[in-house]
Amino acid sequence: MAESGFPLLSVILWVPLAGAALVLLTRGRSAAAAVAMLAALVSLLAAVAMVAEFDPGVEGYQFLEERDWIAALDISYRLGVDGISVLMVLLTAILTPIVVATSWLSINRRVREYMAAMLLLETGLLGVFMALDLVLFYVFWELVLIPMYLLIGVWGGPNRIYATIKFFIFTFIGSVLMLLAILVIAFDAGSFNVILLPEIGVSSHLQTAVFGAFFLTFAIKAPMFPFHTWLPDAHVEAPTGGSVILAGVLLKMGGYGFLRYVLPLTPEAVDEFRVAVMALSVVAIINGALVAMMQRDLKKLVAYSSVSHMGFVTLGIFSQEQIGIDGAIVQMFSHGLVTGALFLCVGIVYDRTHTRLFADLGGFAKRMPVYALLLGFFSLASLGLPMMSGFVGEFMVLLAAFGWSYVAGVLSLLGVVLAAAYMLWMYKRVVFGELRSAAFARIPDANRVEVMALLPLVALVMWVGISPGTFVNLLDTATAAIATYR
Amino acid sequence: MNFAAVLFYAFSAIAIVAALGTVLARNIVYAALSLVGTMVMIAGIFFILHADFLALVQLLIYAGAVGVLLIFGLMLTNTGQPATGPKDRWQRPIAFVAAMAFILVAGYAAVSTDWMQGVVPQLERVPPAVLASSLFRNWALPFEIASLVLLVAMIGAIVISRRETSND
Amino acid sequence: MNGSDFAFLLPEIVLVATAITVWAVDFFTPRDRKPDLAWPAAAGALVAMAFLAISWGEHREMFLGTLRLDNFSLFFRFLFLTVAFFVIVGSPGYVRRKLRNAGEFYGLILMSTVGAMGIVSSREFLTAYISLELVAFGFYVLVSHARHEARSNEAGAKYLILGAFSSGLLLFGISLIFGATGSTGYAAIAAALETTPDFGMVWTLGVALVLAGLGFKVAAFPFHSWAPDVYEGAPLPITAFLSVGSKAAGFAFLIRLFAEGLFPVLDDWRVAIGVVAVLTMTFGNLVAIQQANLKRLLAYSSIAQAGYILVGVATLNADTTSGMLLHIAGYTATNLGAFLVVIYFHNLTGKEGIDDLRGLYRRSFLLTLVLAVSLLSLAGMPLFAGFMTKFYLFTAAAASQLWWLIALAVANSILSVYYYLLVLRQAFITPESEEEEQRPAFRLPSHARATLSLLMVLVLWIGIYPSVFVDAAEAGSRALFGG
Repeated sequence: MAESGFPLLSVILWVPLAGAALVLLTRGRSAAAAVAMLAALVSLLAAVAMVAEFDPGVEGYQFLEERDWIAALDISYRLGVDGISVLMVLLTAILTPIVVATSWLSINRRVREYMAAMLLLETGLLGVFMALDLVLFYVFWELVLIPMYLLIGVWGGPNRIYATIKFFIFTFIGSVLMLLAILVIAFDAGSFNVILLPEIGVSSHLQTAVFGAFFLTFAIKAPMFPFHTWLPDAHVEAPTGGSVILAGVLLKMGGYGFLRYVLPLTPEAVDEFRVAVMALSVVAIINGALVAMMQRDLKKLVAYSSVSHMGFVTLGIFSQEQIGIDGAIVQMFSHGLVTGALFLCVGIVYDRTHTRLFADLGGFAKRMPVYALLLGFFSLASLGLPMMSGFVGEFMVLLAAFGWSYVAGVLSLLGVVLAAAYMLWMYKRVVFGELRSAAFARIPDANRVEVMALLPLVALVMWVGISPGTFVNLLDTATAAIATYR
Repeated sequence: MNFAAVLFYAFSAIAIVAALGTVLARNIVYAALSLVGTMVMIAGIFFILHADFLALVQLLIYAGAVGVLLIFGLMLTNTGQPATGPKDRWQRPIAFVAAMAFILVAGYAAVSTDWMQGVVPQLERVPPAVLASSLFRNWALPFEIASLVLLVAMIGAIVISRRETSND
Repeated sequence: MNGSDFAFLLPEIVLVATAITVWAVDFFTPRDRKPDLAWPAAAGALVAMAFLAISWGEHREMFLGTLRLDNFSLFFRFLFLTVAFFVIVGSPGYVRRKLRNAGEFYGLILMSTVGAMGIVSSREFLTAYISLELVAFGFYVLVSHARHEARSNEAGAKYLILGAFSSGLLLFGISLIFGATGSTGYAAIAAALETTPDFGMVWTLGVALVLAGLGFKVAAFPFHSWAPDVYEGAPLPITAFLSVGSKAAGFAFLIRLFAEGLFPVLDDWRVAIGVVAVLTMTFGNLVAIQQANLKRLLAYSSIAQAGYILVGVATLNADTTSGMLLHIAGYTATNLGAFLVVIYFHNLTGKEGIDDLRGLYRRSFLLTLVLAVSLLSLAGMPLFAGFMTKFYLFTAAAASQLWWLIALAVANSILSVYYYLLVLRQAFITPESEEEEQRPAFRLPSHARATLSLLMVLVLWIGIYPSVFVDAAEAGSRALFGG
């Protein structure tokens, strides 16, 4: 384990929170955005430094930090990252400045509070991926809820009250179950230490209970069919920035939870329920794709496509093959980039036309050529075109799925085909054809800020697609270890 | 049954009847007088138990001072008509059942218990000096707290009953 | 017992002296200056705290063991002084608007505090009982202090009748226990239980009556029915005082009684107390959801909170006792914060409905922030006191393996989040009408800003880095359980 004298993880983690506090002291929207941007960039810079310093060959966690927190209960402030967390931290750190930049244009009331909430959200998310103490993990997990609730509730669409309540009830039920699971583990294993817990293990007779609680929590978050119904509502009502983070990072908490807690801690229960979970994943892939195809609302389409894509993630994870797990993580990373970008694209159109219904959209190819190009790029990435990030993850997961069962493999493949269908149809409806309203005749193309925000994502999507080895190498040691818990 | 036991049952019976009178009497003066009766009977029970000092105190303070004060108070404040019957008559049967059930349980408990584990304690007369010494040494604290309770009660009575001047 | 031991009672003596002084000074104070008597009263509480701090860590038995000043009593005495301080400091604005007899008001708060401090130090039924009466007598007057308001009078009458009734139950229970064991001292009762494990019906009835009497004091289901009306009718600072001070006193009584006296028979009562705990929190939460008045909502929510603490009583051991002490401390800071927000809001607007909070974030960021922190803490959100203390308590309770109890307690926490969020939604999210947007921002007096900030820091401190408080709670628990 590489010990590091400099608390790099703490810097990545707490700079956004400090930024949030500073943002609240500013006056005026530009100042708020500038401070928020600065904090997000510092955090990103530190995250890049972390990736550069990260040694993929070393087993276990790196950049460990440990301090007593509540000595009486043996709870520590313990941070550390392995290959999986590194990618998730990087994803979070990349998306936040992009969201801050684009929100500066699209948010026009209570900007200060918006930026602060966004940074608070970043700290929560980073903490989830870094925490190596169950209680600390839980604290960050919950911390994510509050700013997300505010983002949807304050800056959301007309039906936001319903969406926030639904979002909150779903995720809070999950949190409570997780808290119960943590209490059971504390009672059974006598430790909250995530590094040690896999060795201690959970007693066989409690595994089903712990698995059930953890599984529901993470399945709601991921979200897995049939626990996904909160997601479309939340997305439709959330402001663009909220949607980007929600789809880009929040959902990954679920997948990350499966990898970090469910597989290592309850291997016997996983073995018992594996078939059911895999089946649900396949259902999610197909169901998500079919429902996406039926949507009349652009944003809802992207939201349901997330359900389908996240199906691949759970399918890969519960295949318990290294290649499947690798694929699942790459898929999470890629989905974060691509879907984040797609939500930004949706936002760009919505800001200009104030509609997201296909019936009102169309013919933007001539008016907004740059935008059409970008939307086309990310649509292709989303449907899993080779040489782009979406392909890599889904391909690896499919390999693992075929290895497990031909039926599952073929059905999942069907999901990929459906994705091509609904994405291309969506593209056709939005970009080609005639303008539906004279009012849209003068709308401007994507502006400089929007293009600058999307370009890094283009580069990353290509990078993952062309040279997936760079990223898979980061993961190998960690995923090999996880694949052995069975 | 010896003479003390006969007296005990007699005092107890009268005390219970008087207590019922306190609760049931429509006329508040009768209720107050019944209360005084209960207090006197309790003093009698103390007396049987060789607690002469307590018995005297009980007579002086409760039967005497408190009782008289109460009746004085009733005479000074004009109560007017006797209170009309309560409005929530439907609660009465429920209350009656509950009270009876409690009496049964408590009665059964009292009868079924082997009090003092079969050891019959020897009654001895405690001289007031010993009582006082115990009260002011070992039990000084509750005694002091009781005086604070009275102080608070007094202040409270003033706050609640103070007539407010018109410019308030 | 010798004279110098009285030095250890200096905090109580200071409070009594302050109360009497305030009452005396009240005579010579012009009417419009009377609300400011809060400052000398609060100063008295601070001086008492200072004296208490000096005796930190000292154990002392007095009056033949009827009184024991140990870390347990220190913990609670400090807590009560803190409560008294914040209640008094939060009062002047309200008193000026609503109440007369300001001097008596502050003095009675101090006197009730003395009673509460007596309860936690008593190891003997009668001393504890008479101290409880001191608390109760103070409250009877305080609750009905707003004499020209019908609601306050009604609340006072209800509280007096039910309070006297519950005291009667308690006293009857004590006399039965005395009859069975021959003593009112906790240690002697425990010793009697060692030699005679079963006293039969009389014993069961006695304990049940004591539990019922104390159940009234902490407003546990089914003895809670007085609480909402009394909370709503009482002057706001007194509602705050009731919901934290009186409740904590009742629990301190229960904890010491069970730890030192009834511990040998706790197993017989575990399930019963657990059921009461679950009913209490469930009832409190379910009714809280339907409330439109902020004060009533907090009243029901504090009933629910009593349920969580009862989980600790049902699973009583050294660890859950630390958990309860910690939770009571966190709950106290949190609820005081919430109530102070309501008090200041009421002072500025004269209103206390949840709807009236609309636009609060625009009118006062500090009030919104403290309200949010308090309510999220009550809901048990991480980073705030409520999570940390409940987590500690439930973790400790897990050792009892009463999983149904813990699962239901945790589930109740979800339920509660819902209504706390409804309040926050009004304060933070629901937009104002155009007319309402013209309302000016609030101007809070600087002492109000200071108190609110202090409480918020306290809630966050307990929530984020509770070591100091955990240490204190564990020291308190060790005083009862040894080790």
